[in-house]
Amino acid sequence: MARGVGVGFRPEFAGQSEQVLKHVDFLEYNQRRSLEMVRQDLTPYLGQIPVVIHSLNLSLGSVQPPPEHRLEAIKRTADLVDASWVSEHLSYCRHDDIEVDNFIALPYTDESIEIVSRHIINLKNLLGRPVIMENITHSFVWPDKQYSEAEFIKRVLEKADCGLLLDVTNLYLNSTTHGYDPYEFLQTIPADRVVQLHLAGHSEVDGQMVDSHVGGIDATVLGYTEWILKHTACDAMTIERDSEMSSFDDLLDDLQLCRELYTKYGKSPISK
Amino acid sequence: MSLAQIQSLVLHLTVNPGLLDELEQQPELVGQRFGLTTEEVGFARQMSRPVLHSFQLQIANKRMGTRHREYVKRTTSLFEPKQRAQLMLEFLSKHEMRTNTWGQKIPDYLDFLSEKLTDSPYAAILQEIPAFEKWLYTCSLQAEPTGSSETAGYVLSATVQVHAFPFPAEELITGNLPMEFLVQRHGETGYVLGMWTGTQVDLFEIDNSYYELMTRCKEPLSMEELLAVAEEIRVRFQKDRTAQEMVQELLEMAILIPIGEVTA
Repeated sequence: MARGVGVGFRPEFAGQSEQVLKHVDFLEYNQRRSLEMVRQDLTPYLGQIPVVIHSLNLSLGSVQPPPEHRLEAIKRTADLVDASWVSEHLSYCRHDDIEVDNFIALPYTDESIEIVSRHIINLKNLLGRPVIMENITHSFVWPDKQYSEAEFIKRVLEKADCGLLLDVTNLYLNSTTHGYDPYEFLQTIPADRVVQLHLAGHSEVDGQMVDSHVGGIDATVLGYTEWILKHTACDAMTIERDSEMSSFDDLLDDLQLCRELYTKYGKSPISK
Repeated sequence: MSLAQIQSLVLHLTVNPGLLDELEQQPELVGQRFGLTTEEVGFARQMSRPVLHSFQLQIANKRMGTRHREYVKRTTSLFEPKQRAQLMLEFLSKHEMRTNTWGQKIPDYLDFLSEKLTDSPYAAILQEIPAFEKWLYTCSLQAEPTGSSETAGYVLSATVQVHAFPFPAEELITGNLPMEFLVQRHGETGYVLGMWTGTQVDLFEIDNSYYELMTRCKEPLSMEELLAVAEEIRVRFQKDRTAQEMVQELLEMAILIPIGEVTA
């Protein structure tokens, strides 16, 4: 089972598996189209450390169910790596023939809860493994809502009986952009549902905060992380990095920060 | 509330900036088209226009990615950042992309941007840049093998294209094209070779002799003919290299390839 400090696998890690295995407790792997690519990327790690799968395009919040071929692909990947769990985003990005690569927040309503929960349960049944859902960063939400973001997430987690991949950076960006109290958000989420954390650096572009996955995790984000590690069942944290990175070595500073936090609050320290 | 109708409207809004204008000007019509109640149309109109524009741009830029941006970066650099965003929104309104179709839309986008340069006092000079990038884009398209397959000989590879432009090649290749440079250096001929690697177009600066030699190899030539052409060019351009060396270099780089049954 994945636990401890992990990183999102990136192609830039090629040829550095020894270094990765030395510093990391588990890998998070973004779903790729071909199983051959997955094998190529992960062969040095399989059987060495646990792997979790991060899915990007199932659009479980769409009214229309995910395409069969994508479901089959994620099952094949999860089975191949014996994934501890599979994560997806609590959002939608597809309707009829329109599909975008960005995540759109669902309206915080009972109808959304009903639909997304049905799709999560179906996915869990298909995979035969836990599914956890990630809170997304968003710049707009459908104005007609029955719940706050935190209450909406809580209700989805309970109805679908699934865990939360809590992106702490997204929480920081959303609470700042939309002006809500992040601790009120954290206190609303059931402590036993928080399974994994995402941490990343962010940027500001034209006055807007952007989840750019750069290095240098913000001190405020680390502060929320401490609170989460102290008050929830969460036992797995992952660094996401997509910018300003040429090799795995660029993650070492952020990994060190996370390792220190994990050691301070870790429920069951991992010996490396 | 019907989630299906709302998702349909929001997704259309994220890829079509023109729909946002329609929603403002003709809310009832938009409501009818998407099956929304008057109340739902009211909620849709509450969504911030600048935020949605920003989201539309995020989607368009993410979809374009580094790969396609390479074919438009020089042209877009001719506009101020704010103007770029406005132009992108205008283009997206005219070319709704329900999925990522930048691969096919690049020439349209370059034509659209070229048209926007018409009002500049330097239009004729500036419009050479979208013309260069349209050529660059064509280098990425799967080309038919050059020359007739019935004729054996040495021919320019289908993955290679050469072109002459009225600017120094180095700056065209790097994309470092400030206005002052474009105005001052327009008219200096640069020769560029574009080679499709399967994932990107690699650009090289070439000199006039290689440019001439390669343009003469669009139809297959025997080795004897090829060496004769190279020799004629070498003499005309007063180059130090031998004809043999010039040909050998192009063969080694697979810029010239043999087709049919040829004898070395």
